[in-house]
Amino acid sequence: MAFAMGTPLLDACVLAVLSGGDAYGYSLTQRVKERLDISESTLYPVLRRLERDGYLRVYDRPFQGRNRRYYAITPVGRTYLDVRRGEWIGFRDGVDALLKEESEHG
Amino acid sequence: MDKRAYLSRLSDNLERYVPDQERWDILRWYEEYFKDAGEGNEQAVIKELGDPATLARRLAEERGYGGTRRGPRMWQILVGVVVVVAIAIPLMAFSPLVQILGFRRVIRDPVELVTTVPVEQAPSEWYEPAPGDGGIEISISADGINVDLHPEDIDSPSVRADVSTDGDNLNWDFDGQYLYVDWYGNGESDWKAAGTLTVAIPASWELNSVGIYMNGAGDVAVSDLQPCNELYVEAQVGNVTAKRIVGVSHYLSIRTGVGDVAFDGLPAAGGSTYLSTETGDISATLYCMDRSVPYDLHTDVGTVTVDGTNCGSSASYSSGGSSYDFNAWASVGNVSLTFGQEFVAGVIQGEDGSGIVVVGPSPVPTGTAWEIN
Repeated sequence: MAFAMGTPLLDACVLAVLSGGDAYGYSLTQRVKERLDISESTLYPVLRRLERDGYLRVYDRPFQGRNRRYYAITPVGRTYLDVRRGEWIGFRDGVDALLKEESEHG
Repeated sequence: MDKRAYLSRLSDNLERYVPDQERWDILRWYEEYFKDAGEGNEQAVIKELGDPATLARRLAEERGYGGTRRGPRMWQILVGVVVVVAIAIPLMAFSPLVQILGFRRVIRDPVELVTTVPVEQAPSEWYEPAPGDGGIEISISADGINVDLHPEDIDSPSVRADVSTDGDNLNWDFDGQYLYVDWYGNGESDWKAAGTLTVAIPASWELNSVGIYMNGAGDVAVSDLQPCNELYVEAQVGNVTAKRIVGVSHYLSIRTGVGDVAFDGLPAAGGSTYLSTETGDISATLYCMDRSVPYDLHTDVGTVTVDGTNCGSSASYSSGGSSYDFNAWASVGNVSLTFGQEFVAGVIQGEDGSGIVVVGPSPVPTGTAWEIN
């Protein structure tokens, strides 16, 4: 794909997945990859950044004799997601309008 | 190459770029990734992740470590400042979002109070650290025990667990910037624990963000917290007591599911202050405010009691045509707000089962109960 997936957008996508429920690393990665063809195979830096900024929190739960690390969105993460979502819709609508306009005139 | 060899090569390469703590975190992530992908998919994961040396370099870059092993650099701190400002601005500019967060229902028409009394002087207690000025992040996660967080004038963090079972599950790490304390049970349904986890923070520490997450049933107590940017407390079943909280500059959120919230201190200066419980009472003793600071206090089943007799003035806060300073909401119980003569809010709005009761602020003569319904 010719369009780059910027950091804020990837952050928002990860938070959007988590807003539907807590997830562990592999399941989260798969859920993002179901929708997006991201060549970056790792979400680790994204999650660490979101954790550092307080948008998500981490907790461990035992699973088959080991601890599995889960990620959960925080209240401030939801607020951040709402803001980003609003910005994205505005951006998307702008691009949509421009592309549509060009195709109509072209 | 199998999983073990892959992780070993990843580890060797990471060692050149990142500190040990970061390296362990990364290895843990990928080890878990391999395990959750399933044994049969080992080669597929290795192919997906690619060359371990390349992955290590990319991870190091994205995590902000340069070509050689070192700690965070100045540009990262600057980025941190921008990030915090970026958080603070949306939080303030998008106050409807804040409102939605605190109140999911339609609030009845607010009642206008006087808005024009000037603030003569800022209260001496006011403290406002610079936004995003680095500092230490604290994350405490506990399950089913009580957590007590308070600063002490000691040289290193002190973590003391006095719990009846599974004390080995207490882990804490401090790498100079982040303090993580994790305490969790073994997940069995009949698991029970009782006790207290006490985390004492040196008074000399420069804090950034403090988060306390109580996953099981237990109380949280925070007292005399030194200045920091953010304080989050989230409990499920238990009381939260926050005493003498005066230096939170940007975001203060205290929530519990079932339990009471008791707060005394100053609100977050540059952001929002939330106190909420689903079932329980909220009692807050507020000190001074020298500017507009949004407050949200919310209980579904319980009462809200605010003692604001020591509050100073509060100017009007407005955004997008609506303005509010103070939201108090009790779906079933009563709301009781008492302010000193000097407290003047742009709008105080709220609702309870029998109507809001506001006592005190001009133009209401002291001692007059004002019912709104």
